[in-house]
Amino acid sequence: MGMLRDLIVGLLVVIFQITIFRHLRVFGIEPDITLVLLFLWMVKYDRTRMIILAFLIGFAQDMLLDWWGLNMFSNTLTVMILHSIVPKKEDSVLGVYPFSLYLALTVFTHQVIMLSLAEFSDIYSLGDAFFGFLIGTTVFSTVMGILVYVLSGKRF
Amino acid sequence: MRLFANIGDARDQILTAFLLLVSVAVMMVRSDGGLQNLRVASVVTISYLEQPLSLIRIYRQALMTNRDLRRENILLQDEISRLRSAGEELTELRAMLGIREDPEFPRDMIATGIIAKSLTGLNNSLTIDKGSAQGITEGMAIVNSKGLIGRVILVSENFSQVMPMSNSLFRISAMVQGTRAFGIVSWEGKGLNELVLNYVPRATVIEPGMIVETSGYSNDMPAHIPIGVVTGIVPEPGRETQRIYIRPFANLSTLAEGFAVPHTPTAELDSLNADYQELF
Repeated sequence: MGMLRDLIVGLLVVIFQITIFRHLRVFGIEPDITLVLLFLWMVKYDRTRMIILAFLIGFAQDMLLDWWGLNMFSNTLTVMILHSIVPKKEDSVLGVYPFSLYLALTVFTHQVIMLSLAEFSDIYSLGDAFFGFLIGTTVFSTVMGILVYVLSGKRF
Repeated sequence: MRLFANIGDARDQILTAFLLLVSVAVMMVRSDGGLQNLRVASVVTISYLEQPLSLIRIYRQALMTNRDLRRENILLQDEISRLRSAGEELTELRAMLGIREDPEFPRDMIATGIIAKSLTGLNNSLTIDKGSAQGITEGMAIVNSKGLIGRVILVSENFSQVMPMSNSLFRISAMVQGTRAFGIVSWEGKGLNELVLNYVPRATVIEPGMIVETSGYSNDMPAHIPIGVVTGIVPEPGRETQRIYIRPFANLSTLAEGFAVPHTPTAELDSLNADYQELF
């Protein structure tokens, strides 16, 4: 039941991302709140569960954005790489600065993998805008994550 | 415990490798033109999802378009204004070219621009952007396509001062077209649109609408330069002459260009006049 609930929440977040946040563009850069969700889940859940959730969330994103495989691959690999690094809920309460740092690291890793893969597979090419897009998305998504952190009033 | 941890690690690694392979396979299938039905379904799904929010984006886009159009409208208004101004200038210059083709006028007129005006008092004046270096001399008539403007009274190397007809010291010998009525045109300081032709005998029938032009008798300006149109006739009490009110053709308020008309006074006539003055 827990997994199913998470999948429904994940799907809703993906729908929000596609219908709303995808259009909040600043200089052509959009935030990715699904990565904020993945990060929050990484704090809570074990790695096996996270790998499956990340893959399925990626599948939903790819299906709706017609990016078949890109997010599935990036989400799964990001979780595999970072899950052991990200502090767990039972270790300590994350303050705003560690939260921001680890979230930025998660977004950055995901974007490096996804953009490189997109460039390699010729799905889309950013050319000279690669690093601008990478840094921009990382900063924008981290700011959105911090807003979620502050507005929720929770300590992760 | 360590054994279980290692088994867990291996399980995750195998699972990750499998899922990554699936992802790559999906990417390859997609690139090879597969997944067509799923792609169509995804497009339909995303369309349904985005439809409710499209109105907001359309509204936002309309606001942006509206802002851009307003900015463009201002630029176009400015351009229209400049084009109108250029059009008026073109009309004026064409009319002036028409004058130059008039056989009555000298062919070597000097085009000038009016660069300063003082039209606020009795001692009105104009400044033109041509001087002695360009061939301007004192006494030259300044005209535009409508008619006489005034006379050059001071000349420097590159600029000249012009006394317009609307100056209390201005005098010019004039005649009413179609009659042999001659007189002196002057300005009485009653507005820029009213001149007076004096010393015309009452016996000469003058009607409003008749044209007044230079007579050429004053020997400092060519004949037949239009001055204005008759607007009123008033007999002078106790005298045999009548005062003829004229509306000048040239509008000093809107004046921007003109021509200086070269004219060489007849030296013999001047000499004869001087001798006559000496007799009395």
